[in-house]
Amino acid sequence: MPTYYVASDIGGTFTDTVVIDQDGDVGRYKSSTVPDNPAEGVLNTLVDAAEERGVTLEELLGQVEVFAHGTTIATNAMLEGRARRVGLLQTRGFGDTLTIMRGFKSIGLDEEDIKRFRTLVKQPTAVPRAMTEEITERVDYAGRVVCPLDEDDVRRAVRALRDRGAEVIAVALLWSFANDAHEHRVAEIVAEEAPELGVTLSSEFLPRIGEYERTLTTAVNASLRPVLKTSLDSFEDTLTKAGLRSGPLLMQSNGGLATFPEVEKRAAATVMSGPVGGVIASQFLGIRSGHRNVVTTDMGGTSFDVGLVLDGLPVMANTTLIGRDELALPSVAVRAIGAGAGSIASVRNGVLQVGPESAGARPGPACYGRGGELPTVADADLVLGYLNPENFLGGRLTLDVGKARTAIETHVAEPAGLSVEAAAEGIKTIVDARMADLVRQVTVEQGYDPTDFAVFAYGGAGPLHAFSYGAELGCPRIIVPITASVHSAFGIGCSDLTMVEEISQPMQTPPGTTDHAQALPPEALTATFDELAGRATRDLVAAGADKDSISLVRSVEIRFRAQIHVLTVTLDAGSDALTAADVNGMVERFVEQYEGRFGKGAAFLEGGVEITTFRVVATSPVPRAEFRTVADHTAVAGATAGTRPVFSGGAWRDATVLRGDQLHDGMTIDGLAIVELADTTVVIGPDQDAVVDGAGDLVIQTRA
Amino acid sequence: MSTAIAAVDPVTYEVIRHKLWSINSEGATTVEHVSGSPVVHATDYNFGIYTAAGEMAIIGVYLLTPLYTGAMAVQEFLARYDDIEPGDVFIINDPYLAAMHQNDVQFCSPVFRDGEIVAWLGCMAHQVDLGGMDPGSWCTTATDVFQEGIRIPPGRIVRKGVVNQELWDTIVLNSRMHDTVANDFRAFLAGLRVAAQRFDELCDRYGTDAVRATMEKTLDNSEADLRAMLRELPDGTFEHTSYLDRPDGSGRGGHAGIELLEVPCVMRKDGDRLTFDFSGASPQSPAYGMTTRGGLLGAVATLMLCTFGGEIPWNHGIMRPVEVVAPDGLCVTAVEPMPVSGGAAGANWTATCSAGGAIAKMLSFSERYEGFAFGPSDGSWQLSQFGGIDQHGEPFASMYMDSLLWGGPAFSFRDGVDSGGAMVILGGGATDVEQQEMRHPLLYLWRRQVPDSGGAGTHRGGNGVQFALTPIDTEEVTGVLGTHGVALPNRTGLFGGLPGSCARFERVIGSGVLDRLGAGRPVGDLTELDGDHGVLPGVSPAARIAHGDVFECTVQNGGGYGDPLLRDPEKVAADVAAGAVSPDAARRLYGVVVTADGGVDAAATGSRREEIRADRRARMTAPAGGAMPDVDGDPVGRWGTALLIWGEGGRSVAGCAHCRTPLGALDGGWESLAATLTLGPDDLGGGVDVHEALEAIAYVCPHCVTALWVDTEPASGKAWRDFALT
Repeated sequence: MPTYYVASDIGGTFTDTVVIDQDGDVGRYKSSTVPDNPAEGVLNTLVDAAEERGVTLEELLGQVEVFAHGTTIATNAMLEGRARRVGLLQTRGFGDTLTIMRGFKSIGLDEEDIKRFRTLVKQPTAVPRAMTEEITERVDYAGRVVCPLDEDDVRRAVRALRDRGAEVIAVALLWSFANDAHEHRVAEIVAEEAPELGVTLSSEFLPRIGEYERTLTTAVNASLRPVLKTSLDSFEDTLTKAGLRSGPLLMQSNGGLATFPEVEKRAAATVMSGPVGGVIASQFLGIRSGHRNVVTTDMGGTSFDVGLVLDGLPVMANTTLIGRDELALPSVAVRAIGAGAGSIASVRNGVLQVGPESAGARPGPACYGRGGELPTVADADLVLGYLNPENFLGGRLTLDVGKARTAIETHVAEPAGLSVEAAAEGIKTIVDARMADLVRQVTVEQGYDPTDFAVFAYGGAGPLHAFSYGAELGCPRIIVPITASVHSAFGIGCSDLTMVEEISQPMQTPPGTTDHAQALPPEALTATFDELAGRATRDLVAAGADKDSISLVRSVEIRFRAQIHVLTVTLDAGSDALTAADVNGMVERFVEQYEGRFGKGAAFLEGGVEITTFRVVATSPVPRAEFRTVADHTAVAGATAGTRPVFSGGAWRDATVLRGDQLHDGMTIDGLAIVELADTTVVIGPDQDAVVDGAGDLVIQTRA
Repeated sequence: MSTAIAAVDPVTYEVIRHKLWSINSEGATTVEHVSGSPVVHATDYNFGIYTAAGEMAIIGVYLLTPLYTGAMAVQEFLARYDDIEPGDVFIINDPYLAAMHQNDVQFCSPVFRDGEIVAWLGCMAHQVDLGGMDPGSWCTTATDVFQEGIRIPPGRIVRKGVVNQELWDTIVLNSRMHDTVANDFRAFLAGLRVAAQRFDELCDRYGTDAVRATMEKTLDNSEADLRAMLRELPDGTFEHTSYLDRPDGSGRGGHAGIELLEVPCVMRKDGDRLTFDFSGASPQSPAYGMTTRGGLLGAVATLMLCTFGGEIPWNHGIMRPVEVVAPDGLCVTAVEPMPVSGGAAGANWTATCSAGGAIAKMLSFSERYEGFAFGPSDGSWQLSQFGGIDQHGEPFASMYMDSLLWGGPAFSFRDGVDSGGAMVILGGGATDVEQQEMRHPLLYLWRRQVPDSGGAGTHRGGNGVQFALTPIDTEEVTGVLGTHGVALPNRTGLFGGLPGSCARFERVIGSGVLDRLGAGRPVGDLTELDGDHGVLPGVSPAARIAHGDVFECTVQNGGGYGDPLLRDPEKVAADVAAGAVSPDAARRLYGVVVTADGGVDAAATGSRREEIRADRRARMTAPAGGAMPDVDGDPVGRWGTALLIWGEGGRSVAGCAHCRTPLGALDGGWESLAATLTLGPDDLGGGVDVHEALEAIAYVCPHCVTALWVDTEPASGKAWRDFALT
């Protein structure tokens, strides 16, 4: 009996699914997302998959060993303000923590928006001030009680919040990660006073230093939990009724999977559930094809998202940016700019600009024929001949070349004094240059040179534009994975069960320290890590992982006391007791990593170091098949390449046009060429060629 | 200046423009990375690309006031040296020439192509210490420049690629923090090197001419855009005055021990040109508050960028139509040997307030641009620096960035930003309380937003914070405190909006606060504490905060926009619910009565507002005026929410914009047409102090008594006019 491994990425517009059988064949499916019932979109893709295999949906689902998915439920609930009403309890004197926002009004904004002072305002607070109550208590930096908890005051505050309509309670007291007694007692009192209200404690959910982000993240999590639970219950119910027998898994922002019961406790950790899949997929495929340093580029309709894989590991951020809020939860780092197929081109003062305004999906680019009249990048791609009007989104939408030309002529060519073709090529040149600039910025900020990376290109428009922005960057290889159109879903299918446990326990070494193990006792570090590892292991086993399959990675957040940058430094894998040599080795590695990123001589060890947070990441592999080549690369004998004119470098030229079923392993394609895969158009530039590698990926290189 | 630089096509232009921006941010990132200095991370640094003539071509978002001194520095190098060669890097920090204060060290390098300078790259960062009488080199009690940090004249720190080690060592040795300064200097060189290399690549690829043409065109475009905006605005003279208060050295308490410096701004607008004239500012003096021409130009440039730069790319084009007039030797143009180490936040901030008021008065004549107007945006930098022995037994010194959390100014269409409305730093903020407590031996009693601290108005000024600290696990700490704005509000409102609250440093000696907390008795306010209570002078160079003492800093906040009586009562009720406005202020200033369940009591609100109007009517001094002029037809213009203007037989006649009653001809100044009343503590928000030499005056319509403008003016009478159109 066949076994299937299934992964879906439920996006805002499309639901992408990959179905992998026990032999490693990967099937790719796409369907429109059903916003009110995400499971329906998934089932629609699986109906296609079942049909292709000549089985019923129920039969297929009954043979699914693992079902994993990414979702935008938490993201949308947060951005659309549909989350539950939180009542927040804070230390007396600090109830304005969320309102003050540490004084920042620029988080999550582009430079252009920051420069517009008259509209530069803070985002609304996650919890309105009227739903926050201060309670009498205080703990200091050493975890000592400065002011005891006033229990009557807590009762008063809980009743007040309940009376004002709180549906859940979040508790975030100062230094609660150093001493959680007050928060636990508050939870008991809430249970007595208002047993109907759920409670989230910052000391349990996120025991890390920094009260603003801890409070924000705890409150957001409390507000999302009930929403996510309702939604996941219904999702699971629908799939189970349709025949799924395994418990579904969900992708977290940290790039790992979790079971529903676990993820319900950490709802806020799923806000990047979808986008990170593409980075994980690139990591997976990159390692397979020998590319351990990868820039991932996802060009969609409205944004261009960039991630990095360094030495086979995705670059992580200690926070997750969602809208204009920064949550203190580790995430796979993804940076975005407003440059996509829907970015609108305009002319002002004779200056041609592209974006950041986007036509979105509605009305969309002019060529979609849905009422859009402004010219977009997609319109330029069509006018230039890169897009085939009859083969867009697998033929689901016929593009209107006339409308695209009119839009460009009216809004760009005439005002700028250019021909329609020159205007279209100008739009493409500008957007490609901007994307190259962003990739450069992301790599340079990490202390790396983009020419040391392979570019992975995916998303709706990435494979079409990568030949240009990749070449501009000087990256030696541009790789369009065979999974490009469903890359995030594929990444979700490549992920491991992951559990992160962390706690802040600030420790410092005095200036002039040479033996760091003296100030950072190995036994103390070991004890902290053991505690975290124990918790993480317990959780993974509860999620069904085999204890022996679990691997643990221990790391610290560390900085030089005289300087500002915090880095995450990993200790050797495993869970052995640390020695003095391990601790000194950790500091040495920190110096190395610091100078690698910030330049030789930038480290300032003489001032001492400071560890703030300890973290254990526990992972357990999810069963999966070994992938092999993909179905539609089976060469069709005798198929011949066609040509079509493409406007490139100021002139119309003939480009070779190939279909997916005309590709075969090891084949070389000379540019200028266009490869039309299902749902994806790949372009190979005039001075480039591409090789179809063993996995079915297209590897584009500058011709020697 | 440019000699026939080739035109660049629109596509190449846009590509190069974005790449220049990317090069600039790569230079900045490099400086930030290599430096690692906390000051750099508080964005007190910048990186810029300048034209061959030294105009700012590309600038990012940093602490804004020092930006303009980069252009001054390049122009200084060009004027002084005719032997500039490839591989040279210039240095300067002389505040009398091109810096706001000695801490701001600037490095600039020319970019040569084919033997010709085609651009300059520059970077600046506030150095943590460059010597002088006080650690940190911010010498609040210096009486001349020689007591302050080392002054570096314009010269070469690198000559043809070789570091001038003698100069380097001289500067580094004069700092208390050798390593940090040397590291920042290395960061400068790294940033300049990276940017130079990428600039070269850009020229190789697109041609030097195309790159130069792009830079020129970005400036020309911004200039043209600004001039077009200016042409839409009325010609005339617009004036606003702000004051800098400081201890007079007598040691007397209260207002008697505080003297005022005056910083009036007379702004003339003629066609597409703007002139800011500060000639009437108080003369320089050997004490706190002096700023140099660099600080003054920085203040004006910051305002121009933040007022007009929302729609126009930021570069020197925005300064081309601007002239700043002020003779040497004033408090805003101090010359040697005046002390200027505090010049980054002295009289230049007061100049920002007066110039900001003047610009707002001009913009408000235009329906299209009145939304660009805002009142004085940044009142004073409340330097709150503490040093001593920390809880780990090590010496520490730290500037608390909490002082940055002031409320922003209100606009015609929105309230001011609460706790973080700064204009001078658009992208900055403060650190978590927990991070501060982990590193320094000071326990916060509170960091909170102060209700009613933003000026009341139809749109409310932003509220700001107050934070209180007490030593823990140390015997005592010493505070270096310095600010102005304690005896008057610098943050006046617009069109009847009230001023925001004043700055304040307070100390309680022997409060026993930790014992009290230990006994489970919370502290809601300083007044609840035992001990010796006192307000500290604005300039307190060595404030001792011992174990058991409490220090509290309250920041200066934003002014309101429009008469508070016209604020939507529902918004007032929402502010009361959120704790932003107290029920007392709602009633007293807004005339809004909020019910027990948080709703608006409409009837009580209506009668309370009538009561306030009646009170204004009873107290006001009516204008002299004779017979009211008749007006025909529709008004031809208006001034914000205050005045309608009719053209009558060649004269301009103004009337109240609220009740549309004509008030009289504008010839003698609009002020003479309004009734006035002096505002007392009951008419102002809590925390507003008005020095005895000044009065808070409300100009109200003599008919409907709506407040049209509220200002602080000399008690002896206002000698200037808000505007005179030509």
